[in-house]
Amino acid sequence: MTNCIYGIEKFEHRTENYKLINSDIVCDVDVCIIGSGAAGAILGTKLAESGKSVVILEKGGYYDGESMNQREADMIPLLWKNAGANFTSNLRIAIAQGSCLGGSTVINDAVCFRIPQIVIEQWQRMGVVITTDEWDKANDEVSERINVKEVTEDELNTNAKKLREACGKFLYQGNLIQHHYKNRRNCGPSISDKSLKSCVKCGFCHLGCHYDTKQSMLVTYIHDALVNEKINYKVYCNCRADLITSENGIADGVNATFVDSNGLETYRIRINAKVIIVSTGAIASSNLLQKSNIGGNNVGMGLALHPAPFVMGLFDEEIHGNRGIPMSYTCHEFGVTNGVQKGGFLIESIFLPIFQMALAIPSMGLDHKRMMQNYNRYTMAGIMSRDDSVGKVLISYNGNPKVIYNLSEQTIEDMARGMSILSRMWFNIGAKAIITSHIDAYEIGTKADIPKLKDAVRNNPDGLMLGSAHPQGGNRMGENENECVVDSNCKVFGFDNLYVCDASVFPTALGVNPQLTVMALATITANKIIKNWKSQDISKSLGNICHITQPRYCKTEQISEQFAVVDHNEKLLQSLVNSDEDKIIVGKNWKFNPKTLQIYNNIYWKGFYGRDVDAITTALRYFGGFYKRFGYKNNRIEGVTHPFETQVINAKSIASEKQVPGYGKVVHLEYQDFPFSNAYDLLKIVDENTILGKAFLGQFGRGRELFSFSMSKIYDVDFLTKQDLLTLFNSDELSHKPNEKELIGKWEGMLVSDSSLSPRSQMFYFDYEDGEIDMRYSFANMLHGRSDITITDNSIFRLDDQTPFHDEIRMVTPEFAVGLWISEWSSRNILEPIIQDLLRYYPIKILNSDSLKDKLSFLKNFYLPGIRLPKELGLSFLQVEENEQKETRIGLSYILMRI
Amino acid sequence: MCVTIYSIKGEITGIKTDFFTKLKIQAMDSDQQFFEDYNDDLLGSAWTNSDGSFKITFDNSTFSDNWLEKSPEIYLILRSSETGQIIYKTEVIKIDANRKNKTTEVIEIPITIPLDLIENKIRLLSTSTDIYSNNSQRILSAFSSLGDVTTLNNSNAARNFQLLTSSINAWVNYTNESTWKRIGYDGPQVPRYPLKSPDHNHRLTWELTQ
Ligand SMILES: Cc1cc2nc3c(=O)[nH]c(=O)nc-3n(C[C@H](O)[C@H](O)[C@H](O)COP(=O)(O)OP(=O)(O)OC[C@H]3O[C@@H](n4cnc5c(N)ncnc54)[C@H](O)[C@@H]3O)c2cc1C
Repeated sequence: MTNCIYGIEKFEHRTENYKLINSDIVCDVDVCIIGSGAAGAILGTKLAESGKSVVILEKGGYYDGESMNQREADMIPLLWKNAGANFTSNLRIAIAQGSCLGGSTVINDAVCFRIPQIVIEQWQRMGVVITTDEWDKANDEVSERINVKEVTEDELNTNAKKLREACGKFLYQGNLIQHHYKNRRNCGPSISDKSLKSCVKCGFCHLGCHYDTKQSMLVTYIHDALVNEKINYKVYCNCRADLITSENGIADGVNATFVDSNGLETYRIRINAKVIIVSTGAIASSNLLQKSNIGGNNVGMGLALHPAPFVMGLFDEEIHGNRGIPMSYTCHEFGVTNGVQKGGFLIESIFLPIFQMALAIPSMGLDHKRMMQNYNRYTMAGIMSRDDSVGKVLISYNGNPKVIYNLSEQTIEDMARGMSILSRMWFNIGAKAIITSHIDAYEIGTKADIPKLKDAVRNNPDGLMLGSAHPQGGNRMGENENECVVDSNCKVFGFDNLYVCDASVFPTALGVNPQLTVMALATITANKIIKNWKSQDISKSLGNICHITQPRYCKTEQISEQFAVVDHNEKLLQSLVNSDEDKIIVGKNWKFNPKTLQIYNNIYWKGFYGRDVDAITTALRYFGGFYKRFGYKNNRIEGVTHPFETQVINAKSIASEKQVPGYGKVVHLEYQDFPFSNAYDLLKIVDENTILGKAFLGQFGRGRELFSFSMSKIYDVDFLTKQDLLTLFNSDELSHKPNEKELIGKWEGMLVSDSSLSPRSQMFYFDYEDGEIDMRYSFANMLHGRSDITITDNSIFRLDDQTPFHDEIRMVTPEFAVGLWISEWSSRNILEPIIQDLLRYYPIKILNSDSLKDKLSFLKNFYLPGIRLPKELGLSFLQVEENEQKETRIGLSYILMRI
Repeated sequence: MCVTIYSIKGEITGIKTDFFTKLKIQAMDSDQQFFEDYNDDLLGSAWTNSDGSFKITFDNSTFSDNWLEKSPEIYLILRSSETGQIIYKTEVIKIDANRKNKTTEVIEIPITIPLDLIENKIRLLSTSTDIYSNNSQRILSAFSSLGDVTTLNNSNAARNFQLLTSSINAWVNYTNESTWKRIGYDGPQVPRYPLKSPDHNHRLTWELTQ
């Protein structure tokens, strides 16, 4: 069977066809879907069934029912996003989202509500062109497949029955409330245990369904596609999409990385696709668009969370709320499903397994222990508020999503009212006390004290411990391009073939649990994509995967493996010889391609170590950036090997083709002078611009292999050298002084060194503030500030801050700029103390330090007491510029990429 | 010079399921009583066979000079094949070798280690079969990256501290079976390793008692 789930976790046994990944992959496909949750799974199956080849990338792992062992300590880290540690930026709201094959549908409570008519109409007024009829049809289709049925009487547990009883007796403004019903849920026959026809009622919905009766995406749409031999469908798990690449309104592919359970990046994958759909769920979808510099400033705006405080009743009798279906009964009286146009809330029965309960109860110490002791005697329900879309998703220094959210007045009021009503309900049916999620009023002994709870919520909303399982919005859907990110087809404005389809496109909070609406939207969107399918060329990009033509992206082991199987191309021996000139001549021995952002440099072969992250390779990359330069001399090819930073080391060699046992025909690089003559390299020329190499210590033919490396004449700007940067910077043809408008936006900065690393170093934000351009920076996530912008000078765009340094920036393309953080020109004597000062704070390597000992001596600056350097900064690279007239200036060089 | 060849013939007994993955067995000399383990000499090592048997052979040349004066004190270290982590150390085995008159001698040392002693530890350490083994790591790395996405206000320091301590309290106490028992929490309804207990049933304890 070709349909398969791939991943990097080893398992003894899996329900579905599962294979391990053991190399980088490039894959051409009709449709690439990112995220396998409520939306992604349905889009994937429907598009594959329509005849398209489909690849799904899923960040989480593949865990089948048999792996779901009902233990919170085991399952939350496996199935929940960020192992459950997922919060708003002020830590006040814990946001639950799934991160596994099947997404949040694997850990949700299986409650299914249709999109309320009020919301359909509100969204239509906000520019969403989807009719009630379309929603109905899609809801019918999904409900049929995932088996949405009303819970039966015997599926109501004691907790749910208590809520029903409480609703049944509750008088609101003198009248008994009317709107409270049993829920509809998606449970049905198990794919793994044929004797199970529906819910087992174990109560562990949040930890995945061991019995496979919850009809999550994993056991429905994804399963259907995997077993359908007529379609072409692949899922890559443990695979995090990092970047969507695009050109002129065409998204051409996705770069993604396989990440293991320790967070280590292993292999990479490049997908070239005709259509790309982002379905990574609210928050993550905005983050991916932001990282890919897609969608502009509307991305991340308008996030809603359905924040939900809880209220528990303490009863004399045992309730055992954990036994049975946690969410099977809902009071709709005060919510959108009962005609409330703005705000409002549902009261939903819920119960939590013990660890989540311990987290939720806001008391401490003995109080907490006492309350937990009563675990079996609580009833529990949540106030799920239809909040205003006041949240924002920003991108953090390290590229992660930062969720800014403050409760609106309306939501605070709804919560105060909802908690008060629910407290009354529990007291009315005999509760002895009430436990709430507010730290100032977590225990209420009598009905008379309920106003205190209301006041606490109103006066100190920050005191609420809130949970959200329904983040929505952030990439608003609608027809107004100025406010929205996608149109009613879920197509991203400005793109022909890029879609976002998941809870992130909701224009407002839905007011009911969202999974069915997400699934219906995916159904509608899939139908539209199929109907409007236009054939399109597929890009042949390799992204940043390890490939024989771009070994700079390979790990050492992968280079070594390729060395073993690739033949040396004897015809290309001459291409070893570099340009005669030893200075850059733009257009001749040095070129820049602004489209691909690649440098062609024939002054030398730039060397690359593996992309491994182990200590030795990292150290090599920091210290030992090297190049090899070859020329014709004495009727033979002679070469020199230089570390970039130390011009003095200059290992001379002779290159000749030889037959070497075990390796076949290779180029032998014989070093001539002591101490290098103890070592030799074997090279295989792959093509005119690519060489694979191995370094040996010892006598030729019998040496001990030290490491594998590669060399190239073409490399991306991520590997820019200082010389390349200055060439771009100083050329009026290749770069220009930016004007304000060109710079508006967010930029990610990477330090340029001559080693093989460009560590991420800073973020720049340019924006208009009261009509004037304003610039903020964040350096190494430690120093934050604002700079003054000067554009008066003819050639220089400069930014000044409080340091003796200023920035000078030049634009290369609209998305790419080069910069210097540099001092004023002055005499070496004046600068010396500044250099010393810098050395105290940053382990900076000075250009002209010659010996390795000198270099290493800076290591002692790594651990200054009290000062912690971010790991990616490592050894940064001080640049010293000398000029006869202007004397000396020092600084750092960096590139800026728009994000 | 007298040469003594030592041959440790060992077996891990009681293996019946398919989960048993090979282990690295190291024979150590524990004669340096005043030092920590890591100063002990490694005498030899071997992998276990699929039936749990193993054999390690070495001779007295591996030992430190003064060893000849006394009897060898050997113990074994069992390590996970995947992570190298130590699963089990045996007691010291004293060998009373009387070899004064011989030039060459082979001493066989039989040893059995019951699987029960090490089974749990193997399961915990084996990354290929234990999908839950990295959980603490996952949680720690999630928490450690929180700094990147939070902006904490000093005025809320006490509240944030409370949040942290209650999270730790919940993790330490309420993922713990003895607490569950004390509270009367029903707990999970399936074994921790459902796949390895193919006979487990899909009935709920509270329904069985009703
Ligand atoms: C505990 C809990 C209980 C819930 N209960 C209910 C309920 O009872 N009823 C209801 O209607 N709704 C419920 N929900 C909400 C519902 O499940 C979600 O609203 C719905 O699944 C959202 O669908 P989605 O496609 O937008 O995202 P998700 O289903 O969350 O799927 C997104 C997927 O994308 C993956 N992803 C993220 N980033 C990347 C990346 N960079 N690369 C690759 N993949 C990535 C994620 O790992 C995830 O698997 C609940 C949610 C939770 C967390």
